[in-house]
Amino acid sequence: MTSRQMCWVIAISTAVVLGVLVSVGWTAAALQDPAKTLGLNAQGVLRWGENRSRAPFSVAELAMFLGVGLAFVAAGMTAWRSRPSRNPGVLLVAAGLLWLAGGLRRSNDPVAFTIGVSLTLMYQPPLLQLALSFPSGVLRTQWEKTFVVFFYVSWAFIAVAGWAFFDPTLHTAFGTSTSRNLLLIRDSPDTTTAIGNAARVFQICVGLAIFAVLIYRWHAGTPAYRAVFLPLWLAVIVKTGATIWISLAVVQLSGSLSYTALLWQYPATAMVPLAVLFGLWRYRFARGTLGDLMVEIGAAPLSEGLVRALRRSVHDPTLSLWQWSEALQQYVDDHGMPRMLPDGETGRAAMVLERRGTPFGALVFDETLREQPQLLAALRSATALSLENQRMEEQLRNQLIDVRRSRERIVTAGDHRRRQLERDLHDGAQQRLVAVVLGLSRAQRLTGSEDVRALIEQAGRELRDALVELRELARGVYPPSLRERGLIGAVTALAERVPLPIQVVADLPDQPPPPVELAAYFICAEAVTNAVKYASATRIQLTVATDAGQLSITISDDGIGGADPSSEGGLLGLADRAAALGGSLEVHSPVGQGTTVRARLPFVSDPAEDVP
Amino acid sequence: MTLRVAIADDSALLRRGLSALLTAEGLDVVGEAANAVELLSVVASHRPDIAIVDIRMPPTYTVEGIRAAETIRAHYPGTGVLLLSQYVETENAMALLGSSAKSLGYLLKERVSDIEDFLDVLRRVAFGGTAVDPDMVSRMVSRPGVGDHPIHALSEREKDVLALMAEGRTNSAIAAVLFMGERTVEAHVRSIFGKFGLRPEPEDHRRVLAVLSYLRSTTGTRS
Repeated sequence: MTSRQMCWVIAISTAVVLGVLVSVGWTAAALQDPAKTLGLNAQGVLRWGENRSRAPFSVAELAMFLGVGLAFVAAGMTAWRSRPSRNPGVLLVAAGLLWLAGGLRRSNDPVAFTIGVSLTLMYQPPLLQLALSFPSGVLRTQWEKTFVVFFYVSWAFIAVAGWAFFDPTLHTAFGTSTSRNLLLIRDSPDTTTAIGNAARVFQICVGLAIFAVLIYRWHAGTPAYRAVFLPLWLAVIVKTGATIWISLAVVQLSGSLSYTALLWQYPATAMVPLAVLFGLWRYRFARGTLGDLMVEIGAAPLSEGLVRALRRSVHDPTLSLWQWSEALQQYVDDHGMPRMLPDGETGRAAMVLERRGTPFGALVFDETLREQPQLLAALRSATALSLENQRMEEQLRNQLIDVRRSRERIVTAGDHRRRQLERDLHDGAQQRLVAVVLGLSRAQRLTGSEDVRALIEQAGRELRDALVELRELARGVYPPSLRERGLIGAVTALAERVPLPIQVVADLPDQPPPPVELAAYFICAEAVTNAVKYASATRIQLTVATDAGQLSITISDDGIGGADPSSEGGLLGLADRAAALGGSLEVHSPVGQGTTVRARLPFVSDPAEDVP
Repeated sequence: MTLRVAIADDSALLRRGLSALLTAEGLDVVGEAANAVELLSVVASHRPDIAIVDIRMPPTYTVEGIRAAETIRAHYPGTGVLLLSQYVETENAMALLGSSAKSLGYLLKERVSDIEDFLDVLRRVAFGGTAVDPDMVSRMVSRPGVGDHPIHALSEREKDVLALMAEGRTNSAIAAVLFMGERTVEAHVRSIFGKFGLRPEPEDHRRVLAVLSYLRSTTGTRS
C-alpha cells in the first residue's frame, strides 16, 4: 500500500465518518424512529416498529457502530500494507466504508436516509467475497466470480426492492417515523414481507453455502492453510451465524430480548477485522518461532532436524527441502529423486535458494505461505544460513580429508624415497664395494703380476663407479649446490646435467627461505626429469622469479604433453609439497602441445592465515 | 675331492668375481644363476655340493633366496646352501634355520673377501655343517640381557667359545682359533650348556640351533 493510497483511504473514511456524525438526527423523534435503526432491512423495520420496548438510539450505540466500521478500515489497511496481494485489504476497507455509509440512515434528510438504508447490508458482499477468495483475495474459478457478482447484485436488489414497497411513516405500530423513503414506489407491507421472507431464506441459504464451502476447504486444506487462516475463518463463520440469528431474532423475538440481539451485531461484526489483526499477530508470532529456529539450527546436525524445525515454525508439515544436483541439473528430494519445481497449479509453491546467483536448493511448501512474504524471507534466510553452515562444514571436512590424504602421500612418498635409496645403495654402491673387496682378496692370492694389475684396475673402476653413484644419491637426498650457491646455483647445476637444451631464466632479488628453495628445487628437478624421461621434449625452458613475496616457477617443454597431475606420481607429490608450504602447483599438459608446470610458493607461510 | 658349487646372484659382477675366485681356488663352479628359478634348475641338473645364494633376487628383491633355500633343502638334501646378504638379521636366520641347521650357512656378503675363512665355511656347509655370521652371533651374545641373565654367569673365555660355537664351528676349529686344547673347549662347552640348563647336543649343527634358539629366547629379542 503506498502512502498515497493510505492517505486516500484515511481521507475517505474520515469523510464518511464525519458525514455520518453530521447527519445523525438527535431529535427525540429521530432517536425513536424504527426506520433509522442501524442494520435493519425494510422487513426488519416493519417488524421492529411493532416492538413495544425499543430503546432509543444512543451515543454508545453510535460509538459501537463507528468502532466496528473503523476496525474494518484499520484492519484492511494493515492487511493491505503487509500482504503481497492487496485484495483482502481492499475488501476489508470497502466493507468498512460501506458499513459506515449505512450510518447515514440516522439522518433526517431523505436523500441521506435513502442512501443509508440502501447501503445498510451492502458491507456483507465484500466479506463473502473475502471468505471465498481466502487466502489470496483472488477468485480463482469462474463460478466463484459469478457467485460474487450475484451476491452484490442480489444484495443491492433486495435492499432496493424491500424499500420500494415500504413507507415507514405509515407502518409504525408504536411511536412514529419521520423518515422519507425516496425509493418508495407503492406502499405494500405484504410485498415487503414477502420480499423480506424470500430474502431472508435466500441469505440464510447463502450463509449456509458459504459455511459449507469453508468447511469443505478447511477439510481439504493443508495444515498450513488451516493454521494461518484459522482465526479469520472462525470470525467469518461467527459473523455469518450472528447475521442469521439477528435476522431471525428481530423478526421472531419480542421485547427487550430482541433489542439486545440487535446490539449483538456489533461485536459479532467486529470479530472479522479483529480476526484479521489476530492473524497478523500470529504471523508475527511465527516469525518469533523462526528466531528460535535460528538458535535450534546452531545445535542441530541439520537436514532432517532442520526440515523438522522449519515445518514446526511455519505450521506446514508438508514443507520439504530439495537440493540442487549439479550432476542432474535438477532438484532432488530427500530420497534423491529428481523433482520439478511446482508451477502453481498444484497448491504447492517453491522458493529457490541461491548462492551468488546459482541455485543450491529449493524450499517447497504449501502455497498459502506465499501470503506471508516476511515469514518466507525469514524462512529463506534461516534455511540459507543453515545450508551455508552445512556447506562450509562439508567444505571443511573435504579440506581436512584432502590435507590428510596429502599428508599421507607426503609420508608415503618419503617412505618410497627411503626404500628407493636403500635399494639403490644395496644394488649399486654396496655391491660394487663387495666386488672390489673380492677382487682385492683375489689379487692378494695371485702370483702373476699381470693378473694382479688387471684385478686392481678393475677394483679401481668399481670404486670410481661406486663414488659416482654415491654422489648422485647424495644429490638426490639434498642438492649440495643448493646449500652452497642457493636456488639459482642449484638450478643451473641441474640444467648442466640435463641432456637437453635448457634455458634457465632466473631472477631472485630476495633469497627465499630454505624450505621454499628446497621445494622449488625439487619441483624443477622433477619437472625436468619428467620432460627428459617421458615427454620426448627437445627443449626446456625454466623460469624462476620472485613476485610479491612469493616464488614463481615455470617449467615448460615442447614434448608430447598429456601428463596427468592427479595420478599417483611425482607431480602429485610436488603438488603436496607446494601445498604444505601454502603454495600451489598447476600442470597444463594438453596432448601434443607440451607440458607446463607452474608453481607458486609464498616466502612466508602461516597456516593460520592460509586456511580459508 | 673338488667341491661342486652353484652361484646365484642378480649382480653379474659379483657372480663373475666369485666364480673366478672359486675356480682359482680349485673349486668346480657348475652353474651361475641370476634368479631363484635359474638357480633351481641349475641345482636340479647339476646337484652341486653347495649353492651360494644371494637373499635378494628378482622379481621382488626381498627373500627370494630364502625361499629357494627352503626348496633346495626339501628336495635336494645333498646340496648345502650358503646364503649371502648385505644385511644379516636374526629373524631371517631363525626362519631359515627352522628346525635344522644342517648344511646351511648365512653370511654377510663381504665375508667372501676373507678367502681362507670363506672356503672353510663352504666346506663346512657342504659337508653338513652350519655357518652363522659372526656379526649376528656377537650381536646376540653381547646383547645386554634383562635382569639376572645366565649369560652373565659365563666367563670371558666361555663367551668366546659360545660365540664360535654359535657361528657353527666345530670344537677343533674353536680350539684352533682360541689357541687352546680341544679338551678345554669341550669342558667350556659342557659348562656353558650346564649354566644355560640345556641338554648337551652331540652334533655340531644341532648344537648351533640349540644355542641360537636359547640366545634368542633369553636376550629379549623375542619373549
